[in-house]
Amino acid sequence: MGCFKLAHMTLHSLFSHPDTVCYPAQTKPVPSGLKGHIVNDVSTCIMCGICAKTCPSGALTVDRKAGTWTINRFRCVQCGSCVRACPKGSLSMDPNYQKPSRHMYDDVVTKSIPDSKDAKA
Amino acid sequence: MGKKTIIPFGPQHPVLPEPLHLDLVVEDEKVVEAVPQIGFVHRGLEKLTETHDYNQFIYIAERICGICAFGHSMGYAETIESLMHVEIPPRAQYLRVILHELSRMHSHILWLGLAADAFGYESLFMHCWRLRERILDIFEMTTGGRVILSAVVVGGMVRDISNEMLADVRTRVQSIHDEYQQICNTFLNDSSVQSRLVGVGVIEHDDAVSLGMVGPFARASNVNNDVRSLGNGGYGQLSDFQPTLDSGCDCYARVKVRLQEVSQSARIIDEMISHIPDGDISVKVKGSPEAGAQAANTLEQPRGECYYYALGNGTKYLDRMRMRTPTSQNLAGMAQALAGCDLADVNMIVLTIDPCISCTER
Amino acid sequence: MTRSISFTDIALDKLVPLAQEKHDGGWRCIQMHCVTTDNGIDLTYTFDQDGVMENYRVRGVQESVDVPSLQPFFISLFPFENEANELFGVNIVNMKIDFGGHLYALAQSKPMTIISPAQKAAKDKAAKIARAKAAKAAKANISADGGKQASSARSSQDSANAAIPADLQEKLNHMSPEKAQKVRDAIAKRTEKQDQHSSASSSLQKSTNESSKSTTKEGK
Repeated sequence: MGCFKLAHMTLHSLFSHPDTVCYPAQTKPVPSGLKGHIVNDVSTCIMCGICAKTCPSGALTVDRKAGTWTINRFRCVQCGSCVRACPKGSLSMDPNYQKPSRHMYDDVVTKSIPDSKDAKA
Repeated sequence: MGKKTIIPFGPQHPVLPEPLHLDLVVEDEKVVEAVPQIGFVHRGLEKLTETHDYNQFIYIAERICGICAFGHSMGYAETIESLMHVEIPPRAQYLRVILHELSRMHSHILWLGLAADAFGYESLFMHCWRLRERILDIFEMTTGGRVILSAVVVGGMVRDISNEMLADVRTRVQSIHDEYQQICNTFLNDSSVQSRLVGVGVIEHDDAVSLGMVGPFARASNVNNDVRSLGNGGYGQLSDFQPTLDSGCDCYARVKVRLQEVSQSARIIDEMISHIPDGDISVKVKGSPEAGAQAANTLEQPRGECYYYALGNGTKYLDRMRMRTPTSQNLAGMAQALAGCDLADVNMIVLTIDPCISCTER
Repeated sequence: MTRSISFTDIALDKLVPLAQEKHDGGWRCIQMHCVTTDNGIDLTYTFDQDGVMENYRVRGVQESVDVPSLQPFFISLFPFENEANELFGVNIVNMKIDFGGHLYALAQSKPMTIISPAQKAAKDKAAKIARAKAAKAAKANISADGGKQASSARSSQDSANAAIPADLQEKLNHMSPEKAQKVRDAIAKRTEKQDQHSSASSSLQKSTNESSKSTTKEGK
């Protein structure tokens, strides 16, 4: 029973490729199953507001009259509840890493909703 | 007769994963008594059932603790399913067990790294954590998250893991396990490690039972209390499950129990992946729990037995959600083990209960 | 070992004899927790042996009542009893390890006993709906032999339910309980009026289509 039983592992890691990458010069390859961030295909969005009600952290705001869909990405926990709750399937998750930011901001997407009378006519 | 001094330990201390305060009453390098104090991470999460309905609360339950995250989401979902009398499909049960056992492997390897750090073996700590990164890569590939997985919903799983991906998971787990043998060898056979672990923090079997200890902390004192033996959920499909017990009663035995549990988890994952059935992964859950309905559930998390209780009141907000985590049971055992030890061994003993104070205080 | 879980209510004075019995029988005490109710605090103690889990609930404990501590039998209950004392205001006496109300540094005393107005409103609404349902069921059962009132109530209820199409039902599930109940009441009233005025099924079909369209607009 001697000391330094870790010799083999230590020598191996001296001569093998490091496990880390030189970020930001290199980036980690994105795994296929990554959740990523929420994206709204606003052309199919009907501004019903179900996603905002389902969100557990209150990251989404939907203003039907103004036609805006707002997401506070810093509150979003990427759970995917809004994607599953959306009745039109306009929400999806884009599996990519986000770049860090210096300021907090809200992402606003605007859609003009035609007046219902005009649509009928 | 030496003079008694009180040395405060924590809440900020390099060896502690989470804040815990101990007042050590010391007499000439020997600890006479230890008075624990918790409360630094209390966030009042159980009160959030008032503003978040039972579907949204699962994301709060996950965030009680980073290490036991998957365990809490699985235990919570099982409790609500029992409250609303929902049966989940068998494939979802198998997937939950596979991810939970991966979570156990990652938690124990993380703990082994911290234990090595506690007695000063920094390079062993870094190798353990480097190995753990490969398990986190498996999580990222299958569920999309590294630490907080968000893979479980009430009624099943969020997304399926295809059979090809499961075969890939199996090969990865096998290669992690092969490299893990060297770490095992170091912990068990290195003489410098043994001199820090053997005979430290002894708690006999009878004390362990009367103090109500749970988890690997108690199994190292030969207390058979593994909830997985009850065969709840996917664990009932295992062909043969024997809890890992050891009668050493000291820190070395606790390290040995956790080392063996990692190997056992790798075997369980292998068996589950070979026998996983095809089918749906979730059922739609509608409505709310009935007024006055109660459900209780236990789950064997990496740190021990975790108890969940839910009380419904007719609306989609639960009246009460209680999560009793294993570390709160082990605090009394820790205070007992600290009495009479050397000051230099305090780190090791505090760490052998695998303290998850965020879970204790929620 | 198979698992079995049971829930029983006991009285406060039976608590210490129960703990003595469980301690002598080699049971473990898993945990203790509290629930805030309108009648006081409910304490639940859980004991376990070989997969048999028993939950005992003491109902409606007031702040003025002394609850005997079970720490002499099960020392591992100390975090839970101190927590009950601080977060719920339960007065537990004879604790072996007593933090004296300083376990957590709280900004507000007994925070778990404070119920927010929104949750109280939701609970009251749910209780009202449950009472109304029970009363209707009782009425229908009593006058099952005859009675135009009971049959019309039943038929209006049935046609009201049939008048709600599947996609609107889905929307109602996502709405808040107050709004959903308003929509359901409006549909029920409308269909009841139609029942009284016309007997032709085709006219009923037309009017239910109209009512579902208008309530869809209202619901969004």
